[in-house]
Amino acid sequence: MSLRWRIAISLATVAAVVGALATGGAYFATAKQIEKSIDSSLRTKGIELAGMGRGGPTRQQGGRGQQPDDRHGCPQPAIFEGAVGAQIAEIDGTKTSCYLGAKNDLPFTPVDAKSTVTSPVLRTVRIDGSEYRLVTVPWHEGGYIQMIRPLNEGHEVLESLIGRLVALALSGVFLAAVLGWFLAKRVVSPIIHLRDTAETIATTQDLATPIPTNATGEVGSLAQSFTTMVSALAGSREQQKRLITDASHEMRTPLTSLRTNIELMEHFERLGPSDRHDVLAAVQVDAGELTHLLTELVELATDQTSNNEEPEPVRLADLATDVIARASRRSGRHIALHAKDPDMVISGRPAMLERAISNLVENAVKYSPTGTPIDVNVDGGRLDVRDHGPGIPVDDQPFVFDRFYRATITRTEPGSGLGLAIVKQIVERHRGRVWAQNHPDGGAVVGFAVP
Amino acid sequence: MTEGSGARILVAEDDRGIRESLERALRFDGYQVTAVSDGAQALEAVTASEPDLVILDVMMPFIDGLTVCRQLRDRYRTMPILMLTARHEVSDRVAGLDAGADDYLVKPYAMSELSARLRALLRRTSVSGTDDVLTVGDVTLDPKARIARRNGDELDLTKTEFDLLELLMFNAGVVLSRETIYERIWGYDFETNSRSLDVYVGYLRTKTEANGSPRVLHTVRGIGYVLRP
Repeated sequence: MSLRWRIAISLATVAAVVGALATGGAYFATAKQIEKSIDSSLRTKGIELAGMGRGGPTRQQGGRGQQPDDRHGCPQPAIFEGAVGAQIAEIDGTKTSCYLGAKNDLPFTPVDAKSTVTSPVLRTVRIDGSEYRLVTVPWHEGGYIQMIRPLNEGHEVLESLIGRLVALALSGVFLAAVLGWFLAKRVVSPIIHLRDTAETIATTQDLATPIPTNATGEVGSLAQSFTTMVSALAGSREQQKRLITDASHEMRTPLTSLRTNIELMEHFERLGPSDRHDVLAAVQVDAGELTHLLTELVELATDQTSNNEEPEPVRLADLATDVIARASRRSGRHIALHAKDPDMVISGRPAMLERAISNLVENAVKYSPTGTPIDVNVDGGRLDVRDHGPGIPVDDQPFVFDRFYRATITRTEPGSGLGLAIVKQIVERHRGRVWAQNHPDGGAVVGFAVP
Repeated sequence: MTEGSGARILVAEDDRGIRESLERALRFDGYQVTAVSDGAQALEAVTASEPDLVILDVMMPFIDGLTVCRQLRDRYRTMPILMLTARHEVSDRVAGLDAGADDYLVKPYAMSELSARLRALLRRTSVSGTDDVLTVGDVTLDPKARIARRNGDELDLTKTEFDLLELLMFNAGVVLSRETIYERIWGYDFETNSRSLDVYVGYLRTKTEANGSPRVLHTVRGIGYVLRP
């Protein structure tokens, strides 16, 4: 069920409950009021009758239209107007009906006998399944006059009253529902707007779609969060796009020389021996470079080294020892390890950290002249690699960790431009930091520190 | 093997792999090749030896290819210049042509394509095959002397612009398709939907319509171009 419907129905329900309570209350109050007015008219009439019976001023009055001395007879029926039955009941049980064509044989109990001239007894009796109010007043010695009025006398009034009350309540409910519907529209419309925008973005994939932010309160902050999320997505997409653009750009270079060399190989038999050797060697280098680029690209893009590796206690000095052994065997360079506290244990992912160290060492091997030494310094979670090459131009230092960034001077050298970017990614995963600078005595120092 | 006929080519390219492979392939084609690795060296080498053709990489350290191209064009109006670029966006190509290059190639290119373009750029003979002075309205062109004039004023044209004007004047009144023009001017028909022809036509119009002269080079939408007095 839509939010709009729910709000409208809730409001209508509240209106229905209030309407029912009000209708019920009004009904019972009115019913009570009607009963009260029946009682009061019965009482008044009873007192009047009692006065007639006892003589006094009423006797004179009665003298005009009745037999004042006929204390045992009924008064004129006119006096019973409004009642539906009247009788004279004697203590001995004889009952004389005074009101022909109406209810006869009204009940007389000892309770009724307690009636006095000033305080007639009033009670509800049931005759033939209907309820009546019965009043009893003394009439003569040992005799009482009783008369009844139906309680359902006010029912007609009540019925019309309840009809109107229910109609009123129903229109209230209807009004509340309509009001709720429009109110809900006001409340829900920014949400619907937001939903439509989200759906538009989902279909068009256009992350630049403007998100409505004119709403206030919770919906407004929802829209704000939405905007934040979409711009984060856009940023990530932009990064991906750049990675792809950069990667394809970097691939063109080895591909270009590869194509040239392969086309030259079509005339292999006409090439001189040294050219033949050079072409084949160049093809090897190009293929190697492409492979290297691809591997690093996949690694950088999928973060695969991080997926299954959990942090564990590691010694950077141990990792560095392995890396150095491999690198010096392959390059024939002299690489020295200087560890301040070789047994210092930190928490890290060994394979990733080893990769980072390896990239730093390879970088130093590549960018320093053959024959110069390379130093790896370890101090706890801090490691740097120093070479004795030309160093890194100050302008380039902030950018060497960017993907595909290659310092002006190194652009002529083969390389993917991704090695240091991978180092940065690994170190940042360890919440560490990276740096690149020049040693005061010459050469570049590139390193990282992890907590 | 001897198609290069000993023409002297300067290659300016910062990537060692590309530079060396290009140098080897061009030497194999019979050219005399000088290879340098940045823009400053390129300017120096051109000044020193005045090659028959220059191949310039756009992205080079110190002085980039576009700057080198602009400086060379200022000094050597008709020296053929071919730009190599790793970018593929139209704006980058137009920037290369804008700097005065006669042609450009996007990496990775096929060596056969590069060779075809070099041959076209090095062709000394007239593109129309005639030695007679061509006259269309107030435009005259001398294929032998490689001089074009409008209203007697000499037009300052690069090689490609001159060839284009000559081709259109020789076929004055005839609509030439884009394919034909590419084939005749650049010697290949690799990418006729590229915008470089439009760019050259734009330059040629600017130069021929200087001083408010009426347009002679007309576009025939969907087909190509025609020169009419």
